[in-house]
Amino acid sequence: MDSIWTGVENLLPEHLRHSLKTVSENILADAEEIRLRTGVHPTLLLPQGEIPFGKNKIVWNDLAFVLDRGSRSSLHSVSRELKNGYISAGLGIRIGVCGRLCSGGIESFQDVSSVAIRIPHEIRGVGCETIKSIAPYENSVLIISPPGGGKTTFLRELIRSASEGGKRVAVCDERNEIAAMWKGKAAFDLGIHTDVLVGAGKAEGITMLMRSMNPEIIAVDEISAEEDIKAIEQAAGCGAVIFASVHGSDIKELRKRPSINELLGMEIFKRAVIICGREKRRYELINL
Amino acid sequence: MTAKLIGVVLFVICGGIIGYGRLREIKRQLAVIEEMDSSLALMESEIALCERSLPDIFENLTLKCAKHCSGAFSKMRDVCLVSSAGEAWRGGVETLELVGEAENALLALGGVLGATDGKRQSAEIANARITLLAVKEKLSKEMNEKGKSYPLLGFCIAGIVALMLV
Repeated sequence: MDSIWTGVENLLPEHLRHSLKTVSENILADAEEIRLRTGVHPTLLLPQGEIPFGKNKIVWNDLAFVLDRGSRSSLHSVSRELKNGYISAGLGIRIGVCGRLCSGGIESFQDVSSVAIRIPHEIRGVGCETIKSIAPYENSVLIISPPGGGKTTFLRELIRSASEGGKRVAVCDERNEIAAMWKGKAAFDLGIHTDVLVGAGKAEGITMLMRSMNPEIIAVDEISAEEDIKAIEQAAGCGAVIFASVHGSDIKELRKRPSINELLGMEIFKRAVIICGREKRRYELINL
Repeated sequence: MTAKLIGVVLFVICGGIIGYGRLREIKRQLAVIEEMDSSLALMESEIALCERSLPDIFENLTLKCAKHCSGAFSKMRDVCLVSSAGEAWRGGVETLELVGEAENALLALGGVLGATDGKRQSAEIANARITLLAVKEKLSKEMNEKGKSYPLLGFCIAGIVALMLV
């Protein structure tokens, strides 16, 4: 965790680094994000909400500094990510960028108004009892929770468990959130039999992985679009087990969405894990 | 009389050394410009095709370049990790001790490197290479036409001045 905070501090201008040093370690341990908005004091996002820190309000130069450090002074190398509104800054740290979008090129973010520096927390052992019940990973599993509910963390643990159980897992990590790849290495442990494809759209990525990596399991986060569902259908048709996550609170709510209802109707997923609770998470395994 | 003779001889030798120094400087500038041109070609493709970050590009060039530019890229790599790419680039270019158009063309790249999209950076790098090529041709011409005569010129001018003073 020390190396992650060092990485976070390296992204910040000096006055913010000093301000962060005045925050207690207990608070920093729970911090999920650092939020910087122009004209406003910086804040830390904790499970209970945002708390301000530091004496100075954020100015545009502070955000430009963060983008420069986050991209290693090479905006061209993060142009694809930036068009999707974020930059991967290594060690699993992700910088969300908000501002005025123009033509969609790098210049569109000359008017950056806020950034959210997400601090990765690798939490091992989440839902371990549920994951034991899913073993030996021969059936597809759908992970359901609202936004920020812990889907990605649980999916990561499921991937690692399956991989350590000897299964060949291929991860389609569109936004580099699951593995947090940096220079060819994953910041999070996904097991020794796992291959990760970063940056490709889910539909394209699943097809590429099926063709190139001969996976037993395909893992993908936050499916929603029709083409994602078609790709999942094809992969399942080729014999791959699917681990996928989707936004939602329960099966009834998912059935109200036409594309997800269609997916459920295909009977690819035999089981679902519903994650609920924020302070203390519960992992409910149900048969579909 | 002997002292005057020694003085004249020393004066003439100094003149020759100055002339020879000019020839060496032209050769050095040519070597640096050639190395920088190859380096810029590599940078252009790394940025346009691989979208590689500048610290990694500078690291590669530190290892690939010969002595004239290797030190400059090594400095750029180190500075880039704590400061902007533009500052790192400008600092490194200054250590090359180029003059005139060549230096100006390279310094101008500091305004775009890492700060714009790959296409624009590649275009500006291509422009810088055109300027370097023009300077290289000018220096090569100077060396071919006048290179050998610089030491002689140095001797002659120094000799004349020495004799006039004596």
